[in-house]
Amino acid sequence: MPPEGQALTSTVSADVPASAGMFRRQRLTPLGSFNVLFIGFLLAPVVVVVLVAFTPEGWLKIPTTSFSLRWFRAIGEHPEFISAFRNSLGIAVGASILATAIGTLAALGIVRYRFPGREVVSSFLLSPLMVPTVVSGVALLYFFSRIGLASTLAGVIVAHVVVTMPYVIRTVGASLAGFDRSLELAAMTLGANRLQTFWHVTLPLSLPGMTAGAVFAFIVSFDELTVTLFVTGPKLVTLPIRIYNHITYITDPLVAAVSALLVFLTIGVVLILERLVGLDRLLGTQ
Amino acid sequence: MAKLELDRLTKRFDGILAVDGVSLAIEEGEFVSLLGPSGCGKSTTLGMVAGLLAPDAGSIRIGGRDITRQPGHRRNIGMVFQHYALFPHMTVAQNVAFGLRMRKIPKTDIATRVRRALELVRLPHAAERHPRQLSGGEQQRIAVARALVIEPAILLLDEPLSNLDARLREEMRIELREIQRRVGITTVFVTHDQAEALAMSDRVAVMNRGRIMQVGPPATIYDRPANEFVSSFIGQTNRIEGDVVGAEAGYVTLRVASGTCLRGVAGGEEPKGRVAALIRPEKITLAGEAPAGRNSLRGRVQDSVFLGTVIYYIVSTDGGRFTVLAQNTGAAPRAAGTDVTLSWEPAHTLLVAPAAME
Amino acid sequence: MRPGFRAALGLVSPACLWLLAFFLIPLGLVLRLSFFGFSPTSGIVPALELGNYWKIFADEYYLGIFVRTVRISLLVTFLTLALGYPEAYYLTRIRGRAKALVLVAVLSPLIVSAITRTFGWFILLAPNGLVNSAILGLGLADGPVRLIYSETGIVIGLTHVLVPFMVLSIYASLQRRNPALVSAAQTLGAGPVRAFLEITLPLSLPGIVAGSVVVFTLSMSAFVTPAILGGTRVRVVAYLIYEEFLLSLNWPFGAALALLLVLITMVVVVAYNRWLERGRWAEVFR
Repeated sequence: MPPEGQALTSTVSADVPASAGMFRRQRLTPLGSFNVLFIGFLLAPVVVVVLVAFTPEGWLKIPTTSFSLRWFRAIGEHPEFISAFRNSLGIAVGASILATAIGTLAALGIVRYRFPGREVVSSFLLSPLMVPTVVSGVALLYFFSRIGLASTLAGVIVAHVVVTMPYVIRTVGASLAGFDRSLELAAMTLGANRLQTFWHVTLPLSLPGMTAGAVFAFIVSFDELTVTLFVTGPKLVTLPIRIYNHITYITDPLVAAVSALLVFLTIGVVLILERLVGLDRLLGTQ
Repeated sequence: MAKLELDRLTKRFDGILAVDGVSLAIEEGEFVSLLGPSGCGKSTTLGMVAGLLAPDAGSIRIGGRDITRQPGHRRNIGMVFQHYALFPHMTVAQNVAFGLRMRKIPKTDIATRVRRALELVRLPHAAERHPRQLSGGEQQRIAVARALVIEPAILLLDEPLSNLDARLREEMRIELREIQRRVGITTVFVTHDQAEALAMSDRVAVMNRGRIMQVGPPATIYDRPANEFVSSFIGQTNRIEGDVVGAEAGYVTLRVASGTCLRGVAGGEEPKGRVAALIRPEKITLAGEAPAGRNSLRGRVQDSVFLGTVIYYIVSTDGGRFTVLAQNTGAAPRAAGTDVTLSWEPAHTLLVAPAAME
Repeated sequence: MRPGFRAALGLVSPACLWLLAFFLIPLGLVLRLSFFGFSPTSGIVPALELGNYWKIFADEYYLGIFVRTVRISLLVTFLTLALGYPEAYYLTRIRGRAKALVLVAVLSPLIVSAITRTFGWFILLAPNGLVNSAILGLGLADGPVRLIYSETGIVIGLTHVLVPFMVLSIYASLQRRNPALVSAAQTLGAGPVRAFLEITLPLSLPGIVAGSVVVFTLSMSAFVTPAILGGTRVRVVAYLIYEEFLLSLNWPFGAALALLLVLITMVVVVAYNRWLERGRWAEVFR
């Protein structure tokens, strides 16, 4: 039975019926065409990069007739990219673990307890998002140079934690917002003490949000360029920096091949994210 | 003010028939309620009259003119929504003036008409406030003012009182009806609350599963339901099944399972074979003996509930459980376990074909 | 101290301490640094002078770069609004699988790193790239239009990178509206266009504002995209800071630039918010 309230609030519209499924009506309205063009605009650069990665030529040309894996193989001949990849991976793993750990704790504290200054703490913890990454990078460089952390692995990881932690807190916070406190109360009335409740009830229920946060932190850290440019040194080149340098000095499809690989990797990682938390929750539209 | 005619209106959602060939003629100035359980199609029907939904089949005529193909914003109707739907970013005055602005009424006229509309709903001082500053009842009245200020041909109300608390509902019921009578506008009122429908309407159309089950003045709907659905939806009913064994002098006799014979009147078509007898609880009296000429059934009091003006009895008989509403005359209620005889007039026994309940 | 308070404090302190040490203090140090002097021979001169700030305001070159950055950011904000609003509106009109697909499409660019996306535009906007081929093919110009290493290229690149934020913000705002309001407007005589202008648009203003603030701030502080699409030929403030810190090594001056960037961004945002809170549509934000 169609819900009564809903019946009245759908307006007489020229395009899509109230029912689901975009494959029902073939008519493409002006708004629908705009949508197609818009999506095209959004996807164009990424598609172009992936296509160029398959070009047999030595310059940036979109392959039309022949495709080749030449530039993918060429990556093997550039060990600096592979070592940069390893660096980025290591840093991202380290930073995301740390950021997820302390970020989750913070999110738990903020979402589930009402304490004076809660709003202030919340804003403070999310403030790195408000400050330009250049400024953060500059500040960290200056600070590290005075305490001897400049151009060190520890320094880079510390910086990445600063950058990624707000994302973890936001993601875990959003997922915890729907947390049902009565589950914990039920556990306690059944005889579990605080620690047991935390371990057997709170933590498992927070896990999807935490994992999503960790994945988010990983992606942000892996792709991070601006702050890293300032805090890293010549012996600790990350993949984004390597790519950036390559683009600014040499322009050949090698970078396109590397980027294409990254795109495939990221898509795989995001599918995990979607499966665990669901997009609507993450966006806060639910 | 005009006459509203609905002719075989039909609407499907995803293949499900929400409104199935609804036909109804509403006279000028009449107040008609569409009453029914949720999902019965009453709001959908209203939506089609308002122009918010396009019917799949059928036609709508206002004042004789066919407006079925006319888009909603060109129809001359006023509508009050369940949650008032006042524009939160406009003041009360701007809300009420909205419809007049859309009709390009000159500014000075708008000001006068808005003032008059606010006086009609007794809220002249609310003009510069915003909807969120008003209470539920006040918002309701502003919504009514907004709908009426444009002087529409028809007024449509979609469960406007559902959001109010009980006392406010009763007050608003009276006030709404008063306003409607004063303005004299043809009105269609959708509700799932039968007390509301019976109290306010000139006529009630009871709907179920997209169809109109019965249309008529409140008294007819209540005392002479045309079928089991109407009878059970409106008020309470006692029900007992039996087989027709004879008919004479306008009454039909049926025999129930225990062997007792009851007499009743036909509700719809000629009752044959198995029928259900429907009796309203307030039509039954509890007595020690049954006077002659009335239907009677022996039973035992299970429970009694004191409701102030009436006492509500649950009596178990060999025809099933009966509810009886007895006036509070000051006498002590019958105790549980007392043997009683239920009796009532054959004229108050309605016989209908047994329907599958749902 | 109530036990809940103690637990909350314990939970949020690791994160707070981390940011205090590695974010707040470094920023404070940079603020102080901006007042120091610099000499090419002896490096940073701890003093307290406004020399750096004077240098910025007195020199047309630096002022010009600030003006350009603001100009680009305003343009990008406007363009993301013009493109993002129709798309967000479209999203509210579709349901089910179609909607999920479009949402993924809108979000997917966010997952790919900014470098890859900007590189894609680098390829597309090159003199022999697709866009120029289209322009020449349609006869809109005689020779290839300079798109990379130009402000136009930066605007296009930044619009692309930031438009998903605008779409999300407006979409969230539109989702929250009460559909009965548009129906009510219709019954009062407003056609679809009027209903949109009078009801939907004003009520989506919070989303427009939030989106604009995000896009403007991110645009002002953007480094990667202007670096690749503008390089040294079209500098923005973020790139200038990078140069001062890592190439010229004039850290105090770079610090002053950084602080000024933050200040200007904040001033514009606050002014924008203030203007709206007092304005005609103030009621919408309550």
